[in-house]
Amino acid sequence: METIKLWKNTPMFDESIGQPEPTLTPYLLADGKMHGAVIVCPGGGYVMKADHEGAPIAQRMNELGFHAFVLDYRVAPYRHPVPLMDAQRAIRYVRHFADRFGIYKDKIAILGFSAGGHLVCTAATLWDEGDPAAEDPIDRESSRPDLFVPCYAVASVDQYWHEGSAYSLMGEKFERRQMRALTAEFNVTEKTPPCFLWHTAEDGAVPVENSLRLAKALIAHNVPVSLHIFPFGPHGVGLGREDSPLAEDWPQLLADFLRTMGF
Amino acid sequence: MEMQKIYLWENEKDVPLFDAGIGQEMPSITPFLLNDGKGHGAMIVAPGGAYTHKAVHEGAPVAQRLNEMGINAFVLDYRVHPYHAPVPMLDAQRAIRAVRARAEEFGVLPDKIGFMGFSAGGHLTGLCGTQYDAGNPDAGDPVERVSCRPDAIAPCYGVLNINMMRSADFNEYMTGERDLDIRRVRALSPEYHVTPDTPPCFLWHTATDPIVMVESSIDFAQKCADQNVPVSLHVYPFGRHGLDLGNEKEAPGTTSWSGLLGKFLHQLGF
Repeated sequence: METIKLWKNTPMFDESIGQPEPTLTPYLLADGKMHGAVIVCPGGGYVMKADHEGAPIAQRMNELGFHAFVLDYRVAPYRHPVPLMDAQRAIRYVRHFADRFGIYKDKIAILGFSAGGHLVCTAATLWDEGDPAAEDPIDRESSRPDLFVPCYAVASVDQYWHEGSAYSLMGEKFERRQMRALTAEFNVTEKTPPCFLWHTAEDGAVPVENSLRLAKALIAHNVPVSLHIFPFGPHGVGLGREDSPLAEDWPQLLADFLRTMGF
Repeated sequence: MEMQKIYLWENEKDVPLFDAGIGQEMPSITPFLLNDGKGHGAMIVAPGGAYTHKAVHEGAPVAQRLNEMGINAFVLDYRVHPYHAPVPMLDAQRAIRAVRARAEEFGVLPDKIGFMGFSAGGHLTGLCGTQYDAGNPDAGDPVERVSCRPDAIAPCYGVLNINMMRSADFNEYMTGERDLDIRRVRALSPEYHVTPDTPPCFLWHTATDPIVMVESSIDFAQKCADQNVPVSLHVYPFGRHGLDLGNEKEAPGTTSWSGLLGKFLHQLGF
């Protein structure tokens, strides 16, 4: 389907940077029934967006019976909070037009890989209920995802981090306080949405600690968690590749979890 | 196919630390063999039961499921309370050696013999995966000449760190003592003994397990990853302790673990 611009006038947009305005590309099921939706955020170290972590994931979500969208969010030299603003706007947008899309308004998940996984972790921990006084009705919607799916995510920009993603997101100079504010494991509460997360144990770019520590923090707050660590495969395998046997099972395990959670 | 059980030692006098007065049988394995004329890997299955008994639902049904996936299985009957550590481990190690020594006869690949167990049996699995020897070449008994290192381990909602199962009762069933000093806790917690030589490991647990905390499996997985030991970990969001093959009604999603284990073992050449 046709790509949707998230704003008529994109806030903090800088044309001279040369990046397009943030968009959502819908991948909708055509069966006329209501479904949950998954917003997909490709990774790329907050400097680009990897193709194999976008459209193919949305198509796989469709095969598993969910509506999907691919988010094109702004990356470096845009800094925090710009990527988060784009992700939050995407959630509000899908929620606002849920009826039109055939989506349950309270079954909107956000999924992301690597740095896109960081983005979904921040979206899941730094959300608001919407601004009832906003002029734009979309901004009146809640930005809380109903479920989040960090995939080999840079869950931490504090310890065990991926240095490149951290610098691209926060700039050259940042304080420990900001690192912690943007590291989900320190910001989990009982209201953090349910989480499905997976990682390969061999990941050499983003250590598996990122997922294990986040999972423990979520469990400590009684947030429903489905965690899957696969033994083999480097960073960035997406739907799975020849060198990541076993990891290809994650989409089915995710579908099981989404259904358990009412999607 | 289930076969007649095989005692791990032929005579009571040969069973180390055997006490006929306790009234427990000699330790044994019950084979569930594919018998298709081909070599397959095998898993030895240790049912759980807090070291007081062996839960039947964590034995034969698991062995049958392994057979469905093309893997030979043996259900271990190990000695429990009032036998105490190291007796269960002696039985488990003997089982690994016995299967290896007779691998050809069983249709088992001698370098694809894994060990798995549930709850306390998962503790036993962790012990076997972190304490083993290559066998004693000078032993008179040919079984004692072969290695007891498992080629894969699969602790299922296992007690891999006794700190995740703070229970004086469990301590007593395991060791005969209700209070364990910290050295003993560490010595008996497999998590502290993972090395690069620890065999590939498959773990699963439910996040809401009220008896053995899920951190037991997550932390063990972290230790395996730290040591570059291949590790597969599956944590499901809901479910009580002791779900054996999983239960979709009670704990949706949990029945997927055995298929994931099968793929993991096949990937390792089982």
